[in-house]
Amino acid sequence: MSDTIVKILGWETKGLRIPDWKIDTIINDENIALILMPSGMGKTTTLTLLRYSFFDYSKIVTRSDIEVLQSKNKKIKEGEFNLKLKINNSKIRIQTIFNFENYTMSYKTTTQATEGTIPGLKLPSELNKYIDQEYIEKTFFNLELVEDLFKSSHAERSVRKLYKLDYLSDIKNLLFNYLKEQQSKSKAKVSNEKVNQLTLKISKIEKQIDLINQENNKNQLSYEKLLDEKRKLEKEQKAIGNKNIEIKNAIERATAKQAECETALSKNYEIFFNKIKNPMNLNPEFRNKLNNFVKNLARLKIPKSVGESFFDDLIREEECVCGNHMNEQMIKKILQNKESILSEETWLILSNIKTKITNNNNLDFQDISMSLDDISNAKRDLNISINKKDQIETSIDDTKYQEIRERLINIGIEVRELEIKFQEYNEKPDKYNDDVDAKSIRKLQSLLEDTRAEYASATDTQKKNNQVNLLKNILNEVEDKTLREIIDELVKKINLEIPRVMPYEKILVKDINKKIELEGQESASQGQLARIGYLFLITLLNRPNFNFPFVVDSPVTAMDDVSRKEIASTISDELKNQYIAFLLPTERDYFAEELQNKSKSKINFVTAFNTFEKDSDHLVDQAIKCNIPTTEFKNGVVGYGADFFYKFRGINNNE
Amino acid sequence: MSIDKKIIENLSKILKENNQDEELSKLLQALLEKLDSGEDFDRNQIVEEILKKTNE
Repeated sequence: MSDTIVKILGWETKGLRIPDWKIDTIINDENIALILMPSGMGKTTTLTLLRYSFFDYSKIVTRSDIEVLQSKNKKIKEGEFNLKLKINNSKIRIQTIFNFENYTMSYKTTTQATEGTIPGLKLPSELNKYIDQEYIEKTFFNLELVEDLFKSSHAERSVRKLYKLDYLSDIKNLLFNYLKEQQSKSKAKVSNEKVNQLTLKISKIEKQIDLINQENNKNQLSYEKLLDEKRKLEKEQKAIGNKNIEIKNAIERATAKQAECETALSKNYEIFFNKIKNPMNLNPEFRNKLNNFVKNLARLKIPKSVGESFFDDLIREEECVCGNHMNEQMIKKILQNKESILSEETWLILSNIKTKITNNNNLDFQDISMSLDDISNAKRDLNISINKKDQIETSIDDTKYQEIRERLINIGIEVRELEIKFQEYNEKPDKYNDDVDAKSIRKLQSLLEDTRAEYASATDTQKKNNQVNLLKNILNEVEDKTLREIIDELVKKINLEIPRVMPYEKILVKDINKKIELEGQESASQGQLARIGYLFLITLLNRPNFNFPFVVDSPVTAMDDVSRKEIASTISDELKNQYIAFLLPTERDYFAEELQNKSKSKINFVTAFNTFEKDSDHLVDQAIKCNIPTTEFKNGVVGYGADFFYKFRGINNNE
Repeated sequence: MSIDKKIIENLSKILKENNQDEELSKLLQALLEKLDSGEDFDRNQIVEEILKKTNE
């Protein structure tokens, strides 16, 4: 199968918030375009416009989405963004038109194939099958938002969407909808009232499942936010506390004491638990009964294999072991009683029980109450240590510190409340499970399955119901297995790259369990997150047979010089697709040069700024000095070449 | 086709483990492709065919 190669040749803008200009991303077959723009001059807007050009957003965008694109000159009622593309050997032009009177957007597409312009966004079919909203939002990426991949379920959701795992859920829905339709048509075996009751019950359970899933997602987000806030506040609080060495030492001592008391308490709980695991320690009456049981066992100590042959031999003797003559009556009695001899297996089990009872019969009952006393003492010590730490913290004369402290207490309460809700959400179903308003997803799913089976029986559609359930289980298994395999492969690939991109940090991706989870340290800096996020996206978006541009806003934001160089190295080594980056002047150092040195591809250096800002004269002067035409566009300048790119200084000279 | 090959492989494997016919695997693959293409199609017809090939 031949590759589909997509290249962005450039774009033109007219009547929008950004200047009316033309930017070419490819002039001489370059695979990389670095576009340098000072802050606030349209980097993010252009990224958004590029997104709009590849996926039909006309029905998704809101009025405010369009308002932010509107020119400051409110007389302009229409704006447009024209994107020039090359797909394999064909050129295509996508026009996105914005109407600022009724705040709508529309498209026009011009292709060589149709040799004309047609309304709508009409991308070739080979592109449509790869591109969806998620793909576009990740391919045109703002690296400032990378932290989202490490929070909530962003990362897993991207994997699911990009690998199209959601279609498996769509199939399950199709199957259940079909089943419902068939059941509503079939002749009921029970009264109509019963059928209606069951239909209503199924509908209620389905609604409740949707509701609690939504709530759970919302709670997960809140939980992540709270933990994030807690981490930041604790750091801030520590920094304030550290200002006063005496307070710092007192807090450290109190924290250490509290930790010591917590360990002691948990150890005492463990000892107590081990003691109560032995039932003989719980009740003297129960212990006596078990001891009597062992005594009685001693009387039945002959196992069957030994016993049967012994009694068979005995009845053939003339004299019994007791010395009496063996008569008919005694033989009859022996034959009767030998039936009560224990079987070999029973004997083995009883023998084990006997040993356990004998071995566990050595604890004094006072031991239990002593353990309870130990727990009580450890709890008291812990409370004292908490109070002491509390006193020290309360005495700190710093308003900010006290505000943080108060907020941390409230966060603790909110976190615990959410944890209880998560427990409730995951609670297992029991045999009395019949609550359609339950808060547990497992209870509701089990109830839904049972009710559907009941409904199937009432409508005589058991066969179809069983088939649909079987397929549902199979599709669930396919979904879980595939997701696991994709994630394992992604994690493996990312971890192979990390030592090179981050040679001085011992950090790896542990898993993608909803979000990206890191191994090696509790938290990572924004720079570390950005680099890992970069690797995640490059690996995730890399598709066999599909070569699509990777466009990034703020590619090395919040990164140190080493990280910038390493990211440049990753891009030049790993990314085979076209790469377009919107850079701030502050991001240029260590990144652009390294990319230029390492990359086998030519780089198109572009510098662009608007001229409607007050202090843009200073920028225009710089352009003139580098022989850049400054009058081509009425409200902006676009300059090409490495010379201007490296010499350009932003609004502030330190940029 | 753009459905990842891991989905197709696992679908085929797990259906086989559940004693399902190869035909069922093909039908489900076809349904995945139809969903992916965004084209309109008779959903009930394809579901009926799928259920016909599903062993309980």
